[in-house]
Amino acid sequence: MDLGTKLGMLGSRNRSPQQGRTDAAGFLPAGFPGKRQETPLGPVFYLEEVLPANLNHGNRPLASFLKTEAGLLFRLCGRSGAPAQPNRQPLPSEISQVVDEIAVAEEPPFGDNEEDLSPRHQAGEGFSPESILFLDTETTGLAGGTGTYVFLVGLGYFVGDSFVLRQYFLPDYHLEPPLLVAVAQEMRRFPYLLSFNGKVFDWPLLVTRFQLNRLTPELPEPGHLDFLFPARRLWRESLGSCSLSNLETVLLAVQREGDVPGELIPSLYFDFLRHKDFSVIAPVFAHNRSDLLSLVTLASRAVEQFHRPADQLTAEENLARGRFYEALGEKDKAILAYEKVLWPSAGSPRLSPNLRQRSAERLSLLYKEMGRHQEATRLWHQMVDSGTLSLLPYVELAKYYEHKAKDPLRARSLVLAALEMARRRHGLRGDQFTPREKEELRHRLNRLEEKIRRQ
Amino acid sequence: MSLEQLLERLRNDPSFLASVTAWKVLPPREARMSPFPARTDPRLIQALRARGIASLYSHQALAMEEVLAGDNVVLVTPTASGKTLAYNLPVLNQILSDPSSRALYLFPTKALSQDQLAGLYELIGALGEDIKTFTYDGDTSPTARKAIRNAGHIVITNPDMLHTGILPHHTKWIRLFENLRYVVIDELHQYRGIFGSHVGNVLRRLKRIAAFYGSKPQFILTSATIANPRELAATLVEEEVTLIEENGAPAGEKHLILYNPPVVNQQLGIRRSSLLEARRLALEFLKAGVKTITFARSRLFVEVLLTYLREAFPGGPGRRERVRGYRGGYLPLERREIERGLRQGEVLGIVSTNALELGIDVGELQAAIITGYPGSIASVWQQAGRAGRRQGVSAAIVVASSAPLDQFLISHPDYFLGRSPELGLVNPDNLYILANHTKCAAFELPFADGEGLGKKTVDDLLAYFEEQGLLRHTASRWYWSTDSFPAEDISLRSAASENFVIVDTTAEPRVIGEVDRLSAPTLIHEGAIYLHQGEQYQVERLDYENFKAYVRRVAVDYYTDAELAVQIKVIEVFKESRSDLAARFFGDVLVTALPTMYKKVKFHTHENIGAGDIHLPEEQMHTAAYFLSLEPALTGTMTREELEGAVLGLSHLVGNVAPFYLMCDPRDLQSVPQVKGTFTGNPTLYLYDSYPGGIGLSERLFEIDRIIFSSALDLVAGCPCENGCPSCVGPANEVGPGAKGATEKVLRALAEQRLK
Repeated sequence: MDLGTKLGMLGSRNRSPQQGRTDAAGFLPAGFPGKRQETPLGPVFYLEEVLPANLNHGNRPLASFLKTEAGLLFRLCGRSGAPAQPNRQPLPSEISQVVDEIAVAEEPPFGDNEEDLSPRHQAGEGFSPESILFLDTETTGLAGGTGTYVFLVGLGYFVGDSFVLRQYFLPDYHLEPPLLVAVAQEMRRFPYLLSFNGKVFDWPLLVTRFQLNRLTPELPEPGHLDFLFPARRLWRESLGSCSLSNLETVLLAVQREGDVPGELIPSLYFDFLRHKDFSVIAPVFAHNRSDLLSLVTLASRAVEQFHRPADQLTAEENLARGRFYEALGEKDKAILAYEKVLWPSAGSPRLSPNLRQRSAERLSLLYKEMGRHQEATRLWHQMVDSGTLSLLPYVELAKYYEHKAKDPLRARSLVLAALEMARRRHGLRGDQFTPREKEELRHRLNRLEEKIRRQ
Repeated sequence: MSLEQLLERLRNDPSFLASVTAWKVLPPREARMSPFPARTDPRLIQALRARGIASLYSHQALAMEEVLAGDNVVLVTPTASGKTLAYNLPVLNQILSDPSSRALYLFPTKALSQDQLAGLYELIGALGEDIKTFTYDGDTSPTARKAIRNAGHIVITNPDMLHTGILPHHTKWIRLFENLRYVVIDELHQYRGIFGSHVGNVLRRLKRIAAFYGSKPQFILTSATIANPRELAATLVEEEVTLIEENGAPAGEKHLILYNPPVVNQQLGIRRSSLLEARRLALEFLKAGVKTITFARSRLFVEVLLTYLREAFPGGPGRRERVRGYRGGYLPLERREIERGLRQGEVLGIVSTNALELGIDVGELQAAIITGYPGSIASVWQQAGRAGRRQGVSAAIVVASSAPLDQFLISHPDYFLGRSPELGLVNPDNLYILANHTKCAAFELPFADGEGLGKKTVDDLLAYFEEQGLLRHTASRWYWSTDSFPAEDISLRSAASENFVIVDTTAEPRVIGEVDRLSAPTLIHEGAIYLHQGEQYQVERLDYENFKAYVRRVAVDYYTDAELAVQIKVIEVFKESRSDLAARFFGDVLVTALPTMYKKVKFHTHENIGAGDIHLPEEQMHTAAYFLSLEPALTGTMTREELEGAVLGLSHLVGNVAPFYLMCDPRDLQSVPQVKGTFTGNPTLYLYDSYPGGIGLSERLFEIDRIIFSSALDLVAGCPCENGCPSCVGPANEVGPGAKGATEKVLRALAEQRLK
């Protein structure tokens, strides 16, 4: 009995047999319009395009990136030099959001690789639009691990008034070492790297390929900025999905015609390997090219959003701006942004309670930090009067009356009101406060009663 | 009352003794000590001295010597003999002399890993050296993972995590694999059957990756007492392994009492429930103030016993429970609390499932009551070992259930005391399992032409996978060429990767369990009553395509029993031998099973109260089988009824006794009787591995069938029933009134025959 029958009888469910092997000799794939470069480890294949920088991608020219304020882009990508408020506890209303962020940024099955930047990179040394290498790869799968290959490495950079696009291609598996070495050489020329989700996906995979081939010296990592994180911070409020395709459609009006759906990319490559016919894989090159160009114009679009007057932004965008400045420690600017959310110009659309509450919580705490107690307490009272479901204004007011205004009776009545609200909300929608929060309230209450007794 | 006084009283209690089939007293044993081997690092000696360990037990020292000499070692010593130190010692010694060295510890479960970590921390703390130890499993946080990969000297994990989490990502573990000196495998005897066959392949992959990074680890294994520890170890690691089995640890006097509950219905061979007897005995021990652990086979039994015992020993308001339950999922902290309770006298008794048998230390217990045979003698000893540490008297009582195997063992105390007859069997070359791990290995690292997986050639498989579009062959290598992650689809705990998921839709849909594909047609067909943790569920819909069964909780007074029409076709005979009376074969068979209908059987009365059809496709399985054909010289004089009864009885008996010797679950080996065999035309008994491709059970059966026949003969001849009962040939109303005599006759002839 042959093996296939035997395995079939054992109950394995495999795919139906596909076409057999093809020759491994076809080094220059039929119809490949790119270049072949000889290296000691073997041939390297790449496609190079030099685009005029004033070329439009969607509704923006690539060159708009060259005009962006480099420092702002750098800080947008979360590299302000100082960690943002490390000790701050998330607000209750933020928790779902934080959890969401963790869920998205959580370690994928193939491991974490959120490397910290070197001190030199953290300081943004030598950062300019021309210092950036744009990166996007295409792979044989999304699962990661040592059996996933990178078969197309798209790199892009600005030189003068041109944008150079180089796509390194793997025409067969055994040609991986020369490709990786060539890519590493390009990497060495640039102090910074910009990708979309590259911290979690593209980069670790390249490192894995490097290590698997036991190549030395190690793959150098430029200062890696991952645009996915600022994109989420900026646009999740207003757009929901922050996939590159959604962002480019909505923000850049990019229209892709005949684009390959991402999930088909691996199978197109496997098809290519069987037939060695470039036309099979050409759409993937186009897809990769478009992704890279979108990354360029999206980054410039992000910076530009910060230069627009607050009046021209939606409430969601202003909230995002506030959070961003807060993260950078620029409290005055953050306050202005939050104030714009809560008190917009006339004729703005109605604010959702959720957005109002989150902005109010953050703004009030900033007021407090800046010593603007009057404004803070006024805001807290407004929140309480409007029937907020947040504990924060109660607790903060109780603190204020206990410690600042020295009015323990008033503080006590606020704690009692908070406890009452916790009880009501418990009955209404299930327990939404943590035992610790309630424990803290009771503890505060006991202390206040003690104070009142002693008075 | 002390334990000694209680045992004295029981010794003089005729009603108790009437049910005791054996009472063995194992005398106390002195410790045999050895000095630290010459190459032991002085820092290690000093740290151990500081903890009161001035010299080693002989087996610990011997293990150290052998490991230092470069050998792989399997250490077989009982519970509480200090085997942990036996492997920690050489590992720490190596790390002290070369801090770049790494070791990997494999434990079968997460709970064991946690326990181990606590123990290692203490020793490393005493050493005061910077040796980093971590557990790496599903609970490890992402941030901790990176530190472990780079800095962990000793990484503690389980085979499942190695399979899906470490090997497919080996580039992240370069430090470990480049410097891997030791692999410690604890509880070796757990790695048998399907699980063991998978683990054998995971180890092949581990060695392949280690070799890629230039290391060749030594293996240190430990096992409970089984018949073939060295063979099992050598098969799993595919290398020579040195056996160490002289135990140098001291032990107190131990009483082993085998207890068979009294017969309450002679005709039907029904005995008193083992659960009720265990309760009675546990109460007696607890009332005497003896700290006692009671083991039960299922969680449900644990709950029931716990309820009974707590009624008798109420904790009282505001006071802690005096009898505590123990489940597999307990955290080390909770266990420490139970231990503390035992030491301080707050806790008197523990009721546990088999979870505790696995080397977890609760200390302080004096007596163990084992309700029902736990599936292997190795387990009996591990459970008995929970009571009684290195000094003082201890007792273990095994209470038999009416299952045939329990009845067989309870009357054969020699099996508990003599050399273990249990074989740990694995078949890493099982085609199905090998094929799956070849995929994983190809994913991890391309195969070069001619390269095998371990010692097994896999050229055919690689070519087959290429045809299937999983691999690409180019430049003399086989590259993984598809977008899947094979390890994720392969569970080490079963052969068929596709399990049916049971979804309870009573309230919010939730998954409550899994059933393997082969059992699905009879257990979860539409209309079936599926039992899960003592609750009844009815299967409302079986989504055969998507491997899902939707069930709803019900309360009915019946269970369902599906009928399966099983056909066996012999494909190829590999081994055979014949005598005048019988012919024996080992070979490949194709088993075809078609579920036809099911009956609804009323509880207690076992009346048939209804039936239904099952509409499911035929299932086929290609597997290995042992088969026995009875020649006319043996059966010629029997009537048709006798012959039928004999074949059915043989099937029932052998099917129940064989798992004992093969150390497998009774469900791993299926037995099918044919009065007119399709292969030889004579009455035939088939026993096949119930996993595709076979896992070595029936092959071994071919070698040891004589022993099994004579054990089966003992069992049927010694059974007190009149015409057959569930404890021997099966209930008389199913096998026929003449079955018992006819079966005995056939077995006697088989046991005494001479085979060519």
